[in-house]
Amino acid sequence: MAKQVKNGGLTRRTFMVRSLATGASVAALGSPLRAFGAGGKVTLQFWKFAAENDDPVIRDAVKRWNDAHPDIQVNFQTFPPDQYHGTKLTTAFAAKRGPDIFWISPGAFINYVNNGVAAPVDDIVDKSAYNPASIAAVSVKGKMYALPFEMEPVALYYRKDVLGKAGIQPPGTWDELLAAAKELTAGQQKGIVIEPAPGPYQNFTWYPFLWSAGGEVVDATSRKSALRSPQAASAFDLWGKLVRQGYAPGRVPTLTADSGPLGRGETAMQVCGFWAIAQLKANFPSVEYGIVRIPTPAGGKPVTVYGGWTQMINALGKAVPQAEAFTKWLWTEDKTFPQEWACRHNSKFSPNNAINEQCADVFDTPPYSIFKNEILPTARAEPRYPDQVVKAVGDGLQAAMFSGKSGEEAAALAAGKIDAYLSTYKGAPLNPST
Amino acid sequence: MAASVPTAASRRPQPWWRTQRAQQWLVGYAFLVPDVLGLAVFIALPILGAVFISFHEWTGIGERHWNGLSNYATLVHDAAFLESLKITAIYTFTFVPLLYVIALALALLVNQGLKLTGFLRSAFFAPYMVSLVVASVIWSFMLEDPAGVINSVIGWLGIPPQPWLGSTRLALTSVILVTLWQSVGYSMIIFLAGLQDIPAVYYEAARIDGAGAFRRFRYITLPLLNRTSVFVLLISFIGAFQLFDPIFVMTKGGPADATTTAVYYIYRQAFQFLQLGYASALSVALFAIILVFSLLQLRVFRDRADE
Amino acid sequence: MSSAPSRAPRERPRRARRARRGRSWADRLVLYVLAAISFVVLAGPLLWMLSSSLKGPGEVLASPPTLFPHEVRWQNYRDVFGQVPFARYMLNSLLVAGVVTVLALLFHSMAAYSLARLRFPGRDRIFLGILMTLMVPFTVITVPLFIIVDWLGWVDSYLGLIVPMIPHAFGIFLLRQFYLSIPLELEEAAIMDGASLVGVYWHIVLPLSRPVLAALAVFFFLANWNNFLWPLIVTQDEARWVVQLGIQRFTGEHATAYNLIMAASTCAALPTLILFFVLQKRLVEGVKLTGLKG
Repeated sequence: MAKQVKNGGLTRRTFMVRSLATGASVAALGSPLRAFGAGGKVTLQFWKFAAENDDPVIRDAVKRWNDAHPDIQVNFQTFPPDQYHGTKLTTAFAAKRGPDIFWISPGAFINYVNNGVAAPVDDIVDKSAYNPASIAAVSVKGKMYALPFEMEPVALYYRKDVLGKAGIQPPGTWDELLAAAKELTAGQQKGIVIEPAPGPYQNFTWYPFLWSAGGEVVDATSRKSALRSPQAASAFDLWGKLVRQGYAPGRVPTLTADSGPLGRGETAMQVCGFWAIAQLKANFPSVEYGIVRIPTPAGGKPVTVYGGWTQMINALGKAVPQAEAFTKWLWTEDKTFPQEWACRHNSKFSPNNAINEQCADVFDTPPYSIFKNEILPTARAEPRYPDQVVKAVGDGLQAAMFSGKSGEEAAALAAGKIDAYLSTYKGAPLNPST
Repeated sequence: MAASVPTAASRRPQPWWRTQRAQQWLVGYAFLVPDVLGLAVFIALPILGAVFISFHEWTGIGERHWNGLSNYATLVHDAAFLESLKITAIYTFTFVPLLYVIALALALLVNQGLKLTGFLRSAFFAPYMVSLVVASVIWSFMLEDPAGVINSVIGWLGIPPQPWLGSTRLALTSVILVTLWQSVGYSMIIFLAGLQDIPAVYYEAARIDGAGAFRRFRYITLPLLNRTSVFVLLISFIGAFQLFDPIFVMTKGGPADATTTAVYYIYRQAFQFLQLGYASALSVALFAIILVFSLLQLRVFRDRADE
Repeated sequence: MSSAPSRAPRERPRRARRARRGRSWADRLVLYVLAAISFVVLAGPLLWMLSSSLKGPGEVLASPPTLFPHEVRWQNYRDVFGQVPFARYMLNSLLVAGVVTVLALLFHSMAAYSLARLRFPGRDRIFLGILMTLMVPFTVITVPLFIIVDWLGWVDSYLGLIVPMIPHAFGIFLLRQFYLSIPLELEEAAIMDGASLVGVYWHIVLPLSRPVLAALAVFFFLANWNNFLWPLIVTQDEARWVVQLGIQRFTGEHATAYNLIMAASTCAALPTLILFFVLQKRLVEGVKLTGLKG
């Protein structure tokens, strides 16, 4: 502001400048952005884990935004996936230098909400257009704290040639699964690949088995573990048996999210997700594979899990409205990116029904259609349990697979640790209220 | 022992800062400033910071809450931490002797004056060129079951393929294998230097007196390598207690926590469970343990060296 | 087995029969076999890394693994440098490792000289304190260190990458050992001639330390070249990434391009390997002089 107030009066110049500024501010109030005055450039830090296949699409979108918004620049950075959540984000936030926008996994979601880092995003999203379960998964007390943008369900992939040669039908029940896995394990080939390494992905791919048996990790009040049930014990037991009997490998050099073992013929069946379709198409185009629902125990209801990252806005950041504007643009306003993310470049369902419709040309063709018609309708959102609970469940699975513990012992082990953790837990409920 | 420098020839009365004593003080402290300042700011201060955090409950992403000694009270009852210390101890007391023996053997081998010594030396040191992270990636492929390289090789010897990284029994062994592979060249160089420093005449004299190869080794080589040995043992011991990278890359502490070392346990508490306060308390405990053991080691070897 | 190359005068005839001047061919054979086995065990995995770096994405994970790539894929190296700014990463690593090494050697030799030669109160206690810093695992100080560096304003800067890595007790310890073992005469003579302590350090002690400094240079450079965790924490913008972070760029969410990781790792290991090969004699000489012998 010109400090030209001489003789106690407003000079004409001052008046002009001030009214111009006021006018500009008033005009700018109409948009969700605040005017920062002349030359107020904001740079947003947008972080996610590195995924060399997907990142170029995001980079293009970010570039488009940056070209169109010279005063709000987005700096997109990626970090090694193994260290992204644990070391990188935590250290940055600990020094109060967290990014403005970042992707977050269901497991970390609750911690960030509990510590007040997540900014509510209800204003950005038209909830009626979204899948209610996805909304519920990121909501606490009716407010959304992250923007969901992908749904990747999990199913059982199998090699048509291998099963065909052995004359085995793709399994529908656990008994069939065990029998098929046993028969198909020969020489270097395993019957099935399930995730043996402890961690969120192991739990993620195991939940369908738990749920289809009728078990739950945490009870409805989110205050106690529900694993001390015969249903849960049977789910632990199934995975324990598969590894202990040698039908599934005890160790795979890559995460089993990589469909490589199936493509290379190291296994006859593999539990994998929707993304594997794109992988198999790119890396093993000549392999014929089939997709079925995750087998259920006798009399069980088919159910699977879907995962997906969500975009969170740092409530403690210095430019929250701008961050919201960018997030809204990226996932709801831009004409090309959401569709590219869902089906042109990847294969990921969107929680936004409109996007799925735009992708009908892809999603209605096999094998995508199998997912769309048979798998997705049975899918539950990946739970948002914090790492202590994830580790407890993982300990149970590890005990069943490697320490010779029975399903019941494994379940009790996990339940004990979860109860110990939940007894001191104060925060948002683990189970989203629908 | 500091040099006791002789007094300057002149006896003229001098300004105080020119006296020997003052010079030694001034230069002594001044020369220490860059490093000590660096160590103070970038290591000592963070250690104090960690101690400070250990009296709090802190997720890192939220606010800190003072909770006094309660982290330490929890620590004492933490069976999982104790287990991780046990695994660290098993690892350390297996790794360090093996490293010593193999590095010394390699140094002896390289010192034989075989052809291509320089080439061999480079080859043996080469594993140290790749970071432990990369070494772990390479080995996690080689240890693949059933068809990794290692299993293929032992297959030729008639041994069935082993689940190197997929069993609680063998996972720690595999980790030891990888870290041995990566770090043996480094200790080898140090032993090599020590060996080459032993005057040949000692061996001559011994040979003339009729001592066989083994006795020469035992009574000449080993004692004269004492200081080198202490150094190698101490450094490898301290490093072994801080083992982290191969666990993170290859096993993530599994299977069934069979390879969860103390540092990995602390990492998990800090960066997965977001319990920075508790992790700091654990670190303080670990530091104290390493310190005590190192001092013990120095004491034991100093006594032996004096013989 | 003799433990030192034989430079002895001719043996008395009585002892000529014992394995001496030139060992028996059986001994030599055993030695060469041992050397060959050691070579395979130690260098083999690296050769496998090299071979994998030239394989296609499917073949690198093939089971059973192949020794030589079915078709040599130089494209991998083009991809490493094309998909990510790997050359930039290597330059960053070179800058950081180089500056740290030079400054560390300078500061450590100063500190070691002070601790070895000069007398002042608290000297030994300071040395003990310095030694104790070796025993702290890095995970422990990660968060507080980052907070301190942030407070200094050095996050995501070369200063933040370089300065915290300079102080290290190991170098001080070795150099002090070395200085303790140098005979005093040279320095005493210089002081008699009126040289200041600083002059003695700069003109006499430092030049004498060249071999040790060369040895330490290799170690420091290597340690900083292979450093991963701290660069990950302190950098935010990719422009300041170092080589070890760059290698991790090829890890994906669902699948990892291991052949590219192998290619990137080979690129990362090559400079240090060449450095060692060139300097190895100096390295051994230097370590010898640190007086670690008994």
